[in-house]
Amino acid sequence: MIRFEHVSVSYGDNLVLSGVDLTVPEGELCLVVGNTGAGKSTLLRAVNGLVPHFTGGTLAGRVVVDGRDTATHPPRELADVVGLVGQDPVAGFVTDTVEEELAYSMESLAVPEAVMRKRVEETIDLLGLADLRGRPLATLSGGQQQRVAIGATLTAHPRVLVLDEPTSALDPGAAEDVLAAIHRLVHDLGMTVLIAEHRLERVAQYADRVVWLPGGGAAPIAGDPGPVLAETPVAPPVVRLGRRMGWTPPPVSIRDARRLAEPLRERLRTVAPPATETLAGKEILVAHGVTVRYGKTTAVQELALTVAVGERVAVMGRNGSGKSSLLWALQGSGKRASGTVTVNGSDPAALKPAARRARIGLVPQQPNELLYLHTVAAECAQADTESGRPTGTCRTILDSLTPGIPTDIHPRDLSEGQRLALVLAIALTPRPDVLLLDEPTRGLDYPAKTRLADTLRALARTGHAIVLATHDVEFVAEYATRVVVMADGEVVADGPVGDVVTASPVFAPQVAKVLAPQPWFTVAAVETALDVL
Amino acid sequence: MRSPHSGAWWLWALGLAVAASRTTNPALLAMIAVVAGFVAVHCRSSAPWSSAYGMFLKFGLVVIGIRLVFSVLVGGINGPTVLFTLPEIPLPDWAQGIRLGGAVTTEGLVYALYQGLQLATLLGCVGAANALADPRRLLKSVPTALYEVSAAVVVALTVAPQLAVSAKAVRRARVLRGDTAHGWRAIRTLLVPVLEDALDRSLHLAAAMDSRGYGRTAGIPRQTRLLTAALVMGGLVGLCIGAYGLLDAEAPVFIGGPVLAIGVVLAVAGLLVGSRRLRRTRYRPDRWTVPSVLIASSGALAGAVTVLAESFGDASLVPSTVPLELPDVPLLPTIGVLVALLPVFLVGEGRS
Amino acid sequence: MVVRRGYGTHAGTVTVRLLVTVLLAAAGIVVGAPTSSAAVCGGNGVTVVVDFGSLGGGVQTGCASGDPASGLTALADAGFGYTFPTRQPGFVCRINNRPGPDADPCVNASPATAYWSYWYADRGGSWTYSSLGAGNRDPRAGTVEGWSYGSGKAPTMAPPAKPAAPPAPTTPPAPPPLPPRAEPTIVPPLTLTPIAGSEPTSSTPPTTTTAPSSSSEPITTTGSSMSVTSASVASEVPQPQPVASEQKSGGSTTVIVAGVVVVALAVLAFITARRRRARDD
Repeated sequence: MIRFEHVSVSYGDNLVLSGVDLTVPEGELCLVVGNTGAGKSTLLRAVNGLVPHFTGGTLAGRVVVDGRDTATHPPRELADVVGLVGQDPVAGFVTDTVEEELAYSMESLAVPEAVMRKRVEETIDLLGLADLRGRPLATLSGGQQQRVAIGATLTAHPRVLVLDEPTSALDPGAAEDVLAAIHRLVHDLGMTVLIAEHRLERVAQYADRVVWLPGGGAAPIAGDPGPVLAETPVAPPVVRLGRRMGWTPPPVSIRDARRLAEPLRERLRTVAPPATETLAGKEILVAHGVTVRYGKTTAVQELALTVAVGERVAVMGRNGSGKSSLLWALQGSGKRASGTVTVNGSDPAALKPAARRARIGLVPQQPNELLYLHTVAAECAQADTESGRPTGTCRTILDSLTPGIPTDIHPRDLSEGQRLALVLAIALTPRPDVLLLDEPTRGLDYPAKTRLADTLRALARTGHAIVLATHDVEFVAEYATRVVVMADGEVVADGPVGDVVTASPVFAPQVAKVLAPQPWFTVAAVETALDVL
Repeated sequence: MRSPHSGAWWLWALGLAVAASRTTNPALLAMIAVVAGFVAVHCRSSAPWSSAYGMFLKFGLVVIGIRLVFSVLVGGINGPTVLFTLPEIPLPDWAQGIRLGGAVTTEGLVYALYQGLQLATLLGCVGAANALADPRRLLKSVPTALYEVSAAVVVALTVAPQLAVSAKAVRRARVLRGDTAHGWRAIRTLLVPVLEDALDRSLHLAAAMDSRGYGRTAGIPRQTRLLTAALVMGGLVGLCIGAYGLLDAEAPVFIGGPVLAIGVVLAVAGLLVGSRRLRRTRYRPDRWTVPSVLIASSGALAGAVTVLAESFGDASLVPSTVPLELPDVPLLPTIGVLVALLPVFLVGEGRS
Repeated sequence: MVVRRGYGTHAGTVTVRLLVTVLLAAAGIVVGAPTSSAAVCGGNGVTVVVDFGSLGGGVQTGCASGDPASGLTALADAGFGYTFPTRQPGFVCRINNRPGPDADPCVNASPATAYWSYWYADRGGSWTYSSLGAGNRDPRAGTVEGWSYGSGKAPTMAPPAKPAAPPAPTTPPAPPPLPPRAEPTIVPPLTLTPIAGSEPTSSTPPTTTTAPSSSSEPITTTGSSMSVTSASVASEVPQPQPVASEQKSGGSTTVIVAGVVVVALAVLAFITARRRRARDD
């Protein structure tokens, strides 16, 4: 169905892909994995000709989709064969209501009106969009938007569906919905699907094949999911566990792993799992009855939260449960309809912005919004002046987070992880008592997430309290000491990470699922325990 | 019931707007404004764009306010009834004819009020149309040959509100950095991320549209494309020259009507050829149902009656302000405007 | 912009002049005042020359004594009545009720071929087209103001020089000024509020306005410190007040009815909006 023949892509001297020889047969779900910046998006966009027709750059070799060479067929002429859903579904919406969005591709393809009506209805049923058909796209939740974006490409009846990080912005439940829909397309319609994803713990089990892009222009490695993933640095926890235990083939799904894990559970029965770090710090952030309203909708309702020095709190909950609103209200820059917040004895909302950020810092969901200067050096110097710190403070923090970021590079040219490090450094420059992070793991690969977890752990040890909002279950298992689960603006669970995470399968990390009922959450913890044995 | 054609709502509003543009009579203007407003709140759908009507109303009030303030400061029209006198600021010779300060008269204020009211009423008409029919749906009804233009407008309409959202987010994020920037720097700190964001969005949108088949030519020969372009361009140039000829009495006679006619023919031919070029279909297109036609006609009637009354010299359409007189109600136009309430009876509350 | 048909040969300049007049004119009232005939000021007064051109009635002059604040004040002080178009107050579309409503309805600015152009000059000098509106130009004491009906040509009479000891009336070809205006065809719905009271600086005696004299002879009044010459033809000046009040009484019922309808609709719209918002939430 899709054939890459000796494909290499370069932008100027920068070789992004090379030696790609790949055939994806019809009806296969193929997963593309690799570190951030390894060229996953480039590979996907080459399938429908956006690379190089739209992005520029040089593509050597041939990409043939359903017998059509992308060299002679621009994306619009491939629209009836390839459906592409980008990373941010909202950015790709052309119309403003669900039904019109679903019809847009067909209108461009001149599908007769009667056929259009029929296909729209079919797609609505297939993806469970019936309740949403007249709704404006802007009012949908992230998962709904993602499903509409997929539906909008499906109505054109493409034979290939290409998805770039379809679940990265979604909460675990919504991600399940989307993946289930994709799974059904492959099995019911025999559609060929190509997915790039960082959160492999969600997708890997559905894949028929994995293509690993090692990055730096090295040739990709393709093969069965278990063996290929076991070789990569971006393997999901279950594969890492299998690799550590020497299970062959390395399991990709929880079911396979549980079958193989029987002896391991036996061995670990005798070992006490590592206790969560004890926290004896004083209470530094105290919030009572915090309510946030937007018009008539209540985002946060009468919420109480107390965080002590050294604590690492994760706030979880589905999209739109009020996590971001809570963080902004705690920081004091966001709206707060009622309630009290005190950080180290004073209300941050009553302080001037500069004094406020010296007490409590916030890294927003879109780090770009904080950056406006042309070089990393300029941003750092600006942060030093803003915080009244000696020159070089920010740069020192940045180097301790991620060494080796060039000073004269434009912040936009940094990788996701590097940019996060820069924003984090800017937020840490005034040495705030409390640090809040909103969805920091978006677009980060496993190594980057581990580095972030280490960084945050070190910060907590040096007397900061950290609160972050995230969907990422694996990251929470690795990083948090305490989890707060929110729903509809209220706290529905609050406790040590072990208790909350094992209470529900939705929030359980893979290792916990494999080793249940024993309370192990991370591969690292298991490894430490085994080393002792 | 199928919702009326978006074009019907815009024609209806256009009719009322024509009526409003022909009069400064506050009674008639108020009538037009409330008719448009009532139909808007009654017939609008529950879609998000329909709630914008309130914004148009507020904007109208602001316009009246600005007009009055200018009238007080700059003067312009004055009558004998001096309300109060502001100190007059002398201006240099080259600004002769402009006066700052000076006497403020009732007549001048009333004149400004009438004018402001007229503008506000026009805004109200546009706002009503906007609330009643999504402008994007209207764009879907343009001829296929103008599809590119309408797509560009759609993209602009989509990106503009997103820009506002992103500006808000960036401003909020600025506070996180202590917000130390002032003046030009503050603008830059806001503009750079917002513009970068806008550029990113546009590129993403363009890529998405391309991937979804936007602008497929599907094997139309190059000559046809060139022919279309030539016809449409020629037609537009003809239209412009013809319109100029008609409006400028000094221009030779042949430039007026004949050139205009040629322009129209060329443009229509271009649109026809172009419509064959782009093969596109429309999903659930609006249809000119009987209610749609009635809605459009009721608005058009209001406009037509007012224009007729004007041409028959109905002096009450433009009440005298110097000397100040109590405005009379122009009977025929008022009845015409009331006819524009017809949609209330044709369309149920909150259709769609 | 208003599009005018049938420009003359000087269409360009005329349009510009007209625009200037329209845009810059301000400050003034519709004045019902006696028409003047020939009068030339002595001393510091401003002489006003009005050339009725094709309207008939020749050239008349009047004198605005003292230092009138604007061209319009000078016009009124010199005993000429003028009217603004309803849409463009500030532009002078009629002087002494002429042209009549059949020639110019006085709703918009007059056409470029037939309008009152505004000039100024030194005594005995030559006419200059004013780039300012009459409401905005402050005539210097002892100068001459000119008004000419037509397509923007200067008044046919040269600006009068300083008069000899007894102010000699300039004699226009039509000594009895404006008899045709007495015709009932001139229905003045848009007219005429008396100048009296509104122009405190004016020394033109309003009494002459109301004098029921049908005399066409110029009456010359000479003040102690200034020379005011004014001719009264008050007979054909309609009494404005009754006309205006008649209109008011006629319109009030319909105005009330319309007001009630407007308020009712507004209330209805408000209630609907409230109810729908409550339901949507």
